[in-house]
Amino acid sequence: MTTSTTRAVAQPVSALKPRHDSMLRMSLRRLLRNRGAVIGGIILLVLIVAAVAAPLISPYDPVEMNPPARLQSPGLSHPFGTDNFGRDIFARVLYGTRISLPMGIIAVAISLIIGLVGGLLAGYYGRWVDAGIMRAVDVMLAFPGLLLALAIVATLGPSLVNAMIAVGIAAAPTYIRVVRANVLSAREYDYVEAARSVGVPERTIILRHILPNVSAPVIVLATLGVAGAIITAAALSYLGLGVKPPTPEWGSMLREASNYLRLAPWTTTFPGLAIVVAALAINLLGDGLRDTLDPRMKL
Amino acid sequence: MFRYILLRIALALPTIVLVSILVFLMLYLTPGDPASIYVGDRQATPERLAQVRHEMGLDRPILVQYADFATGMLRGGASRSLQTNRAVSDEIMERLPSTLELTIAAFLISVFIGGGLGILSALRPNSWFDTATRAVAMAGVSMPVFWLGALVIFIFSVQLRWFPVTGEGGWERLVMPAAVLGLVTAAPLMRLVRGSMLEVMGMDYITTARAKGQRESAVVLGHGLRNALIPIVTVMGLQLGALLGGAVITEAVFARPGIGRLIVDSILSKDFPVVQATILYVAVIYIVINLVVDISYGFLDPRIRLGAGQR
Amino acid sequence: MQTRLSRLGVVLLALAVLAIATACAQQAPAPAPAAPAPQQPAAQAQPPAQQPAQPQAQPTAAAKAAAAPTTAAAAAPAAGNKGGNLVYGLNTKFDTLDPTVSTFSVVSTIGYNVFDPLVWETAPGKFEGGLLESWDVSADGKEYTLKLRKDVKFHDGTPLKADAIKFTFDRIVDPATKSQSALSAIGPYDSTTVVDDYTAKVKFKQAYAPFLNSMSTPVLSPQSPTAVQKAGKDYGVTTVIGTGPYKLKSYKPDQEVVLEKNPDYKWGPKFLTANGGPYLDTITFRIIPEDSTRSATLQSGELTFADSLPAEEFKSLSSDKNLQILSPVQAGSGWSAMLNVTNPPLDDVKVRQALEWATDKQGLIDTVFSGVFKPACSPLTSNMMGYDAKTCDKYKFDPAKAGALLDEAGWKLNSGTGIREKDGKALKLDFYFRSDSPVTRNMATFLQSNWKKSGVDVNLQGLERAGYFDAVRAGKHHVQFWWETGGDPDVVRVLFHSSNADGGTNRNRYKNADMDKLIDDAAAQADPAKRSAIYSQIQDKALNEAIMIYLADPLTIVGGSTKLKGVVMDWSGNYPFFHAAYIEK
Repeated sequence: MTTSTTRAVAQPVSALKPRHDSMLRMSLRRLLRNRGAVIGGIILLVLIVAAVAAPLISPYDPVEMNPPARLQSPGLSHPFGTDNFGRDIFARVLYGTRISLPMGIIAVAISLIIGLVGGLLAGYYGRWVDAGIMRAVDVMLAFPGLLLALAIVATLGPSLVNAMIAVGIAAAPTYIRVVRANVLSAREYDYVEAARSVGVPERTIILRHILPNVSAPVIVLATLGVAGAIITAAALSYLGLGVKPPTPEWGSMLREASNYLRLAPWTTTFPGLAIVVAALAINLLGDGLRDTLDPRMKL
Repeated sequence: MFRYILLRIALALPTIVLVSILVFLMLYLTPGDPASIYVGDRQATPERLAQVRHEMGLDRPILVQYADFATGMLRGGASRSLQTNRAVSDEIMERLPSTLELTIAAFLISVFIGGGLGILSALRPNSWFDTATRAVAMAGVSMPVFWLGALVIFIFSVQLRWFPVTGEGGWERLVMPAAVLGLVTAAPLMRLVRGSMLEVMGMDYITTARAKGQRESAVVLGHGLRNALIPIVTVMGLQLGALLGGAVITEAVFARPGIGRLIVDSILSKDFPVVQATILYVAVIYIVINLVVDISYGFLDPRIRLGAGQR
Repeated sequence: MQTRLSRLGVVLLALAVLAIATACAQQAPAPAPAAPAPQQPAAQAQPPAQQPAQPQAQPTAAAKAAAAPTTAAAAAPAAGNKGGNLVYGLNTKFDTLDPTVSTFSVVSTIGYNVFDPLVWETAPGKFEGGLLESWDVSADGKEYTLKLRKDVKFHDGTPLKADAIKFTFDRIVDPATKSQSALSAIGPYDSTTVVDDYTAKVKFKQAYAPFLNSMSTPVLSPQSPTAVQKAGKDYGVTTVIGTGPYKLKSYKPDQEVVLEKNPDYKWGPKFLTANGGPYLDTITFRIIPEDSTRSATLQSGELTFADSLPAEEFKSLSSDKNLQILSPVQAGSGWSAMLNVTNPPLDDVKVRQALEWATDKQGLIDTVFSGVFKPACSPLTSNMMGYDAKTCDKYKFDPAKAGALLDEAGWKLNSGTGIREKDGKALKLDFYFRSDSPVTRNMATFLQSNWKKSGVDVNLQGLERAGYFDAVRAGKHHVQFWWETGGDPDVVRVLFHSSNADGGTNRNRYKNADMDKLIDDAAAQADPAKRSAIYSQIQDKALNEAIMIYLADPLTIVGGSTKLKGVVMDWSGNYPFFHAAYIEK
């Protein structure tokens, strides 16, 4: 829908390889022309590299306390300063990438699995399967997501894994809805009808013909969802239901330093910025993916 | 129309009953003893704890307790909180105005900013303005509410002293929490409005309207926005629910006594009657919002006739 | 394309600059990076310009250190000018305003304004008449004869008579009331008989010396029988009727309590109302649970007074010219770590003693409480009657000694893991705490790192309320925190008495017949000197057996506008009194 799309179409096609992977290449090409997506992708890549190489980048251990050096403002030895325990905030933010990014991704993976299974079943089989699943979705949607996550963590007990499960389950209803809607429309396509009349097994129809139609909106939803999951996890930490100390998760860093907001602003500024930068990067990428894969998607 | 509303309400009833059973089971089948939390760190022998449990009626069979709760709800929230011994309906009604005030104000801010910026950026796609708004919207949605809230308090209350920090009553106490909550939800709305407007503004009838020499504002608002509204209204309805969730944190940061904080506190202290009643209220509000959204379709697009050919 | 890319870059850059600018704008009060912040408040420039007339209050630590003279600001202006509306920032919501039922100490903070205690404790172990004109204790310490003043009226107009005492006390022990703090305070209560309109005899099952201290708190204040019966279940919610200097005007749960002046109040204690009062037209208690929000609200000038201000902000608040900050030591039992003596390896006294030597209290205070609190030595805070200063010589921070004790107990260091082992089992402790409080979270995090240096592996279990209480009542923990406020040394009963050991407050799960006897004897002993001597024995025994680790004696950090005059802090540091407070115009 934007100029970048039209330009992508106007590209010379000479470079294109055989037909089966040209769709993918075309999408990638379009994506690379989307400024936001490129910036988001680059930031994300940097974050991932930083997470992997954290021990090489930071000379400090993220949980090592050094009380005499507490609450130092950002400087040469501690680029992001130190917290009230004298821990290096740069190291903690850096290692936090190892917690927060996978946390967001795993939470979304959980929603994705629930969403795909539930949505496919509901959309493809219809009738009472659909009615049952959609009623469950209604019930879940009647709880605001954060509250649902809160109830789940309060039940399972606060921990990293439980927070991921909670955030994942809480976001799942949206996925079920989106998948179902797309399955419903895909089911009516002529080639699906054709496959069915020829007697192709249902599993094959679902996997080969329906699923690919669902993938574009789901990829977009999932990408944007990672940012949402990181922020929801931070909110859980704020309510005391996040990861165990001394794990350097960004949300819990913000919470633990909340009384230092004015006294030592760097203790909250950098973890806060880390969340913003990561979420921003993922959102930019997700936005770009949407423009590329499914420009008509309403989100 | 009237029959349609009745039908929808009839369909909503099983959902509400399901919600109540689900909440009930979730609370009762999970570990954690309300009496133990109530006694807390006070001196209490096991006998005394059992006594408190008895006073709370927690030693009765689970079905009796559910029936008790259900009849209490039917009598308008007559059951009492385990922690404060107050009628559940009082607990909720006292806080509801605060939460409604906050969510509605946040919603208006969200619609005003999200909608306004969305339309403006759709009119000049990929302009400098468009890029800047999208970036700001993106940053807004990426900010944890509690951090944004704390920053806003520091800048506008402590440093500049423009607004009071906490409490409620009067617009000046509402501005900051509503803005913080509204900004976070404005971003997705802005993206949606922009997308929908872009799509609609490319349609033939817009070109026709322009060709007829109508004023641009009439074209944009009368033809463009009107036709882009349906998906926008749908998402706005969903967002009201999200606002209720976001209100939990906003209420905590700005010390506003609202439904959000009530739910969180009662979940954590296992105050069963309050959790159940509050979640039911929220569920009902949610269902009403969805109903209103669906009804509004009929007004927005006369082609949609409610009740006709419903599956 | 290229230009657009750079435009987006500019926008992003601008955002980043904005964020960093806000960060920098806030840096002003921060310590210089080169020199670590000095920890002694003495180095603080100047205390707030003037101290109000506060007979009981401890001046701020800064003021004390700087030996600033207490300028008596109360060259009392004409009474007619005194008044004002006080807005008080309260740190937590609570269950009910009825002190007979409540579990929350903030209800007493409000309660001292709405109710009068039967007696006043003006200094540790020193009592003065309140609603009581006089009182007598029988020789065996089991029977108290209470004589009421005759000029006192409840807010509902009914006169205060002895039947109110009987009604209130009987109601406390009635199980249907679900009484909490008051039930603990009334101890081994047996019955009350009304002798005449103004005399009541209170009988206990055994001698109970702490009763005087209990009577000095609002939890045993007489409630108006007619009002309680009239309001039924709504008592404490829509109405409470006391005899105090202020009466309830309105209460919105979770939000605010508004009190207004009781114009009939003539029976205030001398130490508070020698110059008259009450003056304030209204007191509004606003509930602001978030620490940083509460202190921000105080600094923004919206609040006239706030309590439980975070230690982290003590310095910056103290240097605010518009505020006066008070920081008396809070009486009771400070922050401590309870050791579950039944849970191996903590059943070995050597391991417990090793933990005492391994604990860096000053380090904990520096990192978690910004160096403001005081290291604790004893289960009693230093301002309590019976506190024994010798307790401070018992354990010091000495990792070498800790290591030696652990070696002796058979826990040898595995240099590979850095954790000690015995018979192939690692020295691992489960540390339970409430995860919703940043303070307990931070303390547990510090102790984990601190003890690890002595080869002890701490598994942190931060749980929300329900899970936490389930776990510690069942005794699953090795370590958990405790903190208790209260004015009577009988608090040791809460910590060490076997009657509280099974799922109760004694989460050390410590049971010892000698200790029980000492605690009971102390509670029965009416003579303060002899009582104190028994408490010395109790402290000595508790320290020898290393039942718990005393971490920090908290300061109550409260503060208010410099315009607020005449606030008196209770000796125990727990409650501010507003009997003669007013706001200067």
